[in-house]
Amino acid sequence: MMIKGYYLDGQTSKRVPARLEIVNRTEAMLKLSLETIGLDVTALESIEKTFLIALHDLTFESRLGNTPREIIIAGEQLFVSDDNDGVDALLRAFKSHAQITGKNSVVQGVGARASHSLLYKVESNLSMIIVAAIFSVAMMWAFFVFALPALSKSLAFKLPDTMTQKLGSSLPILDKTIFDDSELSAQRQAEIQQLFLPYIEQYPKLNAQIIFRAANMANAFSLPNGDIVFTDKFIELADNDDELIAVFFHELGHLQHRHLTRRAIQGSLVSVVIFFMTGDLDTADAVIGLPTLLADMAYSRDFEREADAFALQALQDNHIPVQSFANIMEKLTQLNVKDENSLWGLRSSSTVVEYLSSHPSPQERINRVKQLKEAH
Amino acid sequence: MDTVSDGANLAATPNTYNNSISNSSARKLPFEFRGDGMEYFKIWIVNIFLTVLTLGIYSAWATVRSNRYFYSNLYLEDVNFRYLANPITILKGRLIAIAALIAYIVASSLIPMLGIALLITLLVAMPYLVNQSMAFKMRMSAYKNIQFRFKASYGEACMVLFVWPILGIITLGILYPLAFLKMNQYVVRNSAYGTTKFNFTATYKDYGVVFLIMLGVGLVCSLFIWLINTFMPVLSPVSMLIMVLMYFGMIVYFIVSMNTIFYSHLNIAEHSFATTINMMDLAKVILINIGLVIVTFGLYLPAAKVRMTKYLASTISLNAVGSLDHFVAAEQENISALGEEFGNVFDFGV
Repeated sequence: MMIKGYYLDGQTSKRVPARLEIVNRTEAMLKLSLETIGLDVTALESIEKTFLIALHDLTFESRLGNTPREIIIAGEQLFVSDDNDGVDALLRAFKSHAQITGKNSVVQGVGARASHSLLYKVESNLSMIIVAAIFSVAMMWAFFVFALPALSKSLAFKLPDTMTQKLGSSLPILDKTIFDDSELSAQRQAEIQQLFLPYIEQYPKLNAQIIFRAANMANAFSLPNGDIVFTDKFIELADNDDELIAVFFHELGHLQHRHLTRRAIQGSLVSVVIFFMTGDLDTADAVIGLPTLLADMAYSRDFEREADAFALQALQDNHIPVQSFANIMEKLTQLNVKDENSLWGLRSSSTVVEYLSSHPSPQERINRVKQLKEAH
Repeated sequence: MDTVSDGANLAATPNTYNNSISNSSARKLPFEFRGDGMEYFKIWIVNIFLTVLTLGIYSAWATVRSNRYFYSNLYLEDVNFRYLANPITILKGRLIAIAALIAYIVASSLIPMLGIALLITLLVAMPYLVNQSMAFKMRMSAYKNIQFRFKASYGEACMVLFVWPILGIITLGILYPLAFLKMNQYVVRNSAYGTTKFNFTATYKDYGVVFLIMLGVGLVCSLFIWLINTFMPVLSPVSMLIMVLMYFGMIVYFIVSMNTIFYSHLNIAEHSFATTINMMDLAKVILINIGLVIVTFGLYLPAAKVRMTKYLASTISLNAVGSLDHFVAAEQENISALGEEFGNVFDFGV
């Protein structure tokens, strides 16, 4: 049994063709032959040098894909060979011989050095690969769908208020970029504040604060510190106080369930987990944004549903018709469809869009109200 | 930060390098990556599988196997590179770094002041950790059984991590190309192959031109988009398209220019490097990769990494003057993976 390769002494970058072969199985001895070419250029004949090496002076690197096998000699010299099968056969030869003769020290030595070839077997076994792929995908799915939301939920409720206050400090940035001061009259603002006041007092722990801003869209949203922002266009959109209260309850639902904090925690955990699963951020960098974004949107839809449920319950508790929630959703949808039409010139209603959306489809939300009404 | 002795040590290196006289004509030696997407996918998926099964412990072994695959498949003159790290070393570093991260999160949420104190400690330690991380990366890489190495002072790391970037911002970007130059000089000039140091000859101008071109293109495109949006609002989808194209183009241009500047000014002894990387080819590789990764829900990720590495390796070549047989190894040295793992966990690094 002879393995061809090359030898590097670890002192200089000179590569020397070499051969490795077994001399004596019982003594676990090998022979390394080097084809050194004489320093004198005129010497045409190659000079061969041979060394005897004990097996326990060799460290066999584990086999890895198509890469050449590296055998470390006495900790610093290196024998490299493309003949992976030959190296494996050599190890097996020592092992089987040692088993027959009962020389346990040799078996253990070889065993320890060749243990990593198990990984190679796993990595080149098709059914193992399929099992690993299905298992990994399933684990990822289970983690993102069940474990992560549960984890971030419990974290969000354990976070001290100082942290959530910090998270709420994004309003000044929004003021600088997309918001202007509200153009609603002071009287109208006071009216709305007065309208919400009894309901704010129902949930004193949430520390809700109503804020008015002007922007070129109809929207209402909450910040982790309890700020609930209404845009002027949104106030104009609502036909009556009940509709305003319905949306206010929805935002209160976000606060009650600490959705924004949970979303922030989940967002950072998703990237951490993807990093640990795939092991490198370099490749993932270009595409890591995508799964993170998709996951974030899926979580966001769940949160919207949770906030919707909170709003509908609160409306019923306060004897306000739940239809007002459906009405304001309907109006928002029509407005958004109009906006989208003017921008893209097409109407998007496919299910793909549903997946790519941060909110449940308005139809779904309106249907829920209908179901609720029928149930009562 | 025992730099004095190191400086003396490295200053002596030109003498230890054995000049070859016999052959002085330059040969163009291409780098070649012989990895295979399917083969790496198998290694990658088994890595994930075992990492999950062992609750993350295997991740250190996974890192080593993955890195070994990429180093061992990179060939120059028909000889492959090697990755030498021991998984146990990486695991230790990783566990300490994660423990530090958890301690930081817990401490800062309970006592905000303590969090700030820890953050300052991390900032102070960062230059040291980045030096360690670079040293680990280099020491764990070998070619022809000779290790690469890296030695930089705390002060140097401080300059490239904090001082130059801050100066770049204060001067409204005028000195920002200099921060890039200094960073690359720090990386290259403190690196060595065995006892032979690398050299880097790029200038402020090389980087400045890239930044000016990007600024110019950015301004022209913004003007164009503004014109469309103001005078032809109907065409606003077109302006969106221009924005996306500009963004993508800028990224590709930046990667290509940085690579070109880096390799065309990189030298070791009398050997120099060159790259043929270009925007069209790189854009093609990126787009194919992104497309396939999306279609396969991420399962193409390992093959995408192989394709990118294959392309990048194929663009780089070494202009060797004479033989590459005369590089000499430096003394052995043990470096912990702490800096490397802190960099990964706290998201900093070079």
